[in-house]
Amino acid sequence: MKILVCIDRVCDGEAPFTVEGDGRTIRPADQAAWRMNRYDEFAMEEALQLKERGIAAGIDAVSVGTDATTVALRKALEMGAHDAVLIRTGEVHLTPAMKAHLIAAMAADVRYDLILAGMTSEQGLNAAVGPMIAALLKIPHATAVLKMDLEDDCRRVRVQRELDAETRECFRLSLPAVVAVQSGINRPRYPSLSNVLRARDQEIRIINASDLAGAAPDQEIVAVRKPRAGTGFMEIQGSTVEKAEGLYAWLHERSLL
Amino acid sequence: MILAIAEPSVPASDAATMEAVSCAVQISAIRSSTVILASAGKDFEEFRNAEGVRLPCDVVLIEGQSLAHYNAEGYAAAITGLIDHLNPTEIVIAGTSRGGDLAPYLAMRISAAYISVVTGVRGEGGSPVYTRPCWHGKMEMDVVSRRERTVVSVQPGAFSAAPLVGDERFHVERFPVSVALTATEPEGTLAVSQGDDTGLANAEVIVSAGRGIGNRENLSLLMELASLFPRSALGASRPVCDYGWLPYGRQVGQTGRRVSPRLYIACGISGSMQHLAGMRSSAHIVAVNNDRDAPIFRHAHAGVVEDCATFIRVFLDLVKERENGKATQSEEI
Ligand SMILES: Cc1cc2nc3c(=O)[nH]c(=O)nc-3n(C[C@H](O)[C@H](O)[C@H](O)COP(=O)(O)OP(=O)(O)OC[C@H]3O[C@@H](n4cnc5c(N)ncnc54)[C@H](O)[C@@H]3O)c2cc1C
Ligand SMILES: Nc1ncnc2c1ncn2[C@@H]1O[C@H](COP(=O)(O)O)[C@@H](O)[C@H]1O
Repeated sequence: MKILVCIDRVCDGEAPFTVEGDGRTIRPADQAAWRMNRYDEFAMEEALQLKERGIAAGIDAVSVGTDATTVALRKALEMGAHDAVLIRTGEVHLTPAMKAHLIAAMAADVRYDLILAGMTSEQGLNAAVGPMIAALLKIPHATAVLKMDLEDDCRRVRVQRELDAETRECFRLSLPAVVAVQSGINRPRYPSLSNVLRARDQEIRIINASDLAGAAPDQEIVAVRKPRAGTGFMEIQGSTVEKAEGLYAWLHERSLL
Repeated sequence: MILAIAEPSVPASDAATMEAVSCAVQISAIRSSTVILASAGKDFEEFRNAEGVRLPCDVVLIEGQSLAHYNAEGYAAAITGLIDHLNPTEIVIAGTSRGGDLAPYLAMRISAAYISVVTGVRGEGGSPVYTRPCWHGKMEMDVVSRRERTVVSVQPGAFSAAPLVGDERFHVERFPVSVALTATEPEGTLAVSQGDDTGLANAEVIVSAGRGIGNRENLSLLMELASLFPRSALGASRPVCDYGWLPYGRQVGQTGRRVSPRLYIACGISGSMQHLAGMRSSAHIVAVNNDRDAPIFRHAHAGVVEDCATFIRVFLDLVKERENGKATQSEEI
């Protein structure tokens, strides 16, 4: 069977960033901060394990974005994806619906048996692209998946979704289907040296977004800002030792230590 | 009109349902419109019979086969039928595990805009402007819909779950649908064990480890910190459990344990909404994080901007010194 893994590129959460003059666009101060979305590492790992068990014949990784997005696709190749496809867009804000339309259009041509996505983008926090691809391709899906097994000669996938700490719900979905995996479903591997070397020279296939049936933005960002801080917060300042003394005193005053 | 969707399949009196209704009511005020709460599935009678339930809106009960267990395929088909009938401008769904599974799928099925993880809404020129987090939760953004119809998913805890001003004699209408599942077979729920009691539930003080502690070895520093307090326990954020540094029984948050100790010390934890959901009600929250902009500081009572390991080492030395000092003093007396 053939698997597509959807890979987002995100900026590291700790990287410094600035808001551009338009008041609506956030950019990291350092372009080197871009990397693969961590949830997508779990999706890649799930695909690789299916390959190793002889179930998956081909694994394609797809990412929607600009040329800079290739860092995430390169990582997917290093982990073991066979092919990487960049659906190239301009420097525009992509809503989940826009990404889903492009991925669905690309996937409709190839007829994948299984489309894997991460639970959510760490940066955008939408948790939407996976289910949206399913709706557009009119195939079933499940999100927050913590266990998946192929059954019936790979005609169906059996999944467990996370409801809360102590409950999961189970479904059998006929393939093709979209599965959005939750963190913890596996332990993503580190790329092997041989794969890193192979990936370095491998070409990333580029499809221009304008050649696919896309969608106009379904929403518009009007402003970005820092959220208001809570009340009653005290930052303990000074040298490291002074901060330790400050916290000690703070805890003492409240009879906590 | 604005359609609120009850939390799929659990008793509809669930807080998540009320929060979605609260958000829908706010949107209806902006649009000078009305709200209808739709519930698919079978648990609604329980809600209607519950004493003192007040709702600011009428209810439509979607009835049909294939709705006994939550499943996106059947629920989306059923709700789409109701949407064609009622023609709502906004459809509001709680951002729970099931709501979050359903909402983006439904939005695409009906070609609506999808605005997720909404934490607030205000009106501008008679249209709603939504606030939602972005950039790892460090920033928030205001967004407006560019479609005639919009599906909104609501961040749990962001809107009031308290009974709203309303009439307990709300009207309930039935809306029968027939949907056949073709590709999805629900198989029910499954209980999973998180392992033995980790002492989190009864702890007065919880020291919690996040990804920012850097490595497994630094856990011993956190344990030493915890041991300064009687009745203390070690907690963790989800990634720390995903890495296998600590068992899942120690995970605090929306999909972990909900705790509210007297003191919660978050070490190298960014303060994601899912983590906050599990510890926000702690009496005192202290955060140690080397990033001043980490969201956890917005919810903490005291904060230290420092490298975790360095700070905890210095703090432990200080406590030892103070205690030795006390010991010497009492010897002198
Ligand atoms: C459906 C769903 C359910 C979830 N449920 C939960 C849940 O129940 N519980 C949970 O915790 N998460 C949950 N998550 C994950 C959640 O979204 C976050 O990804 C997670 O809480 C982040 O954990 P963290 O704060 O440890 O890591 P990060 O967000 O990576 O933060 C690490 C922090 O450490 C700081 N740091 C880095 N280096 C240092 C240093 N040397 N010294 C001090 N500080 C440092 C950084 O500034 C950063 O703030 C869930 C996610 C989803 C999608
Ligand atoms: N730009 C993108 N290109 C490819 N896949 C993406 C992209 N953005 C998000 N995804 C996929 O959709 C999942 C959920 O992302 P989101 O809906 O943006 O929170 C991610 O984990 C990815 O698998």
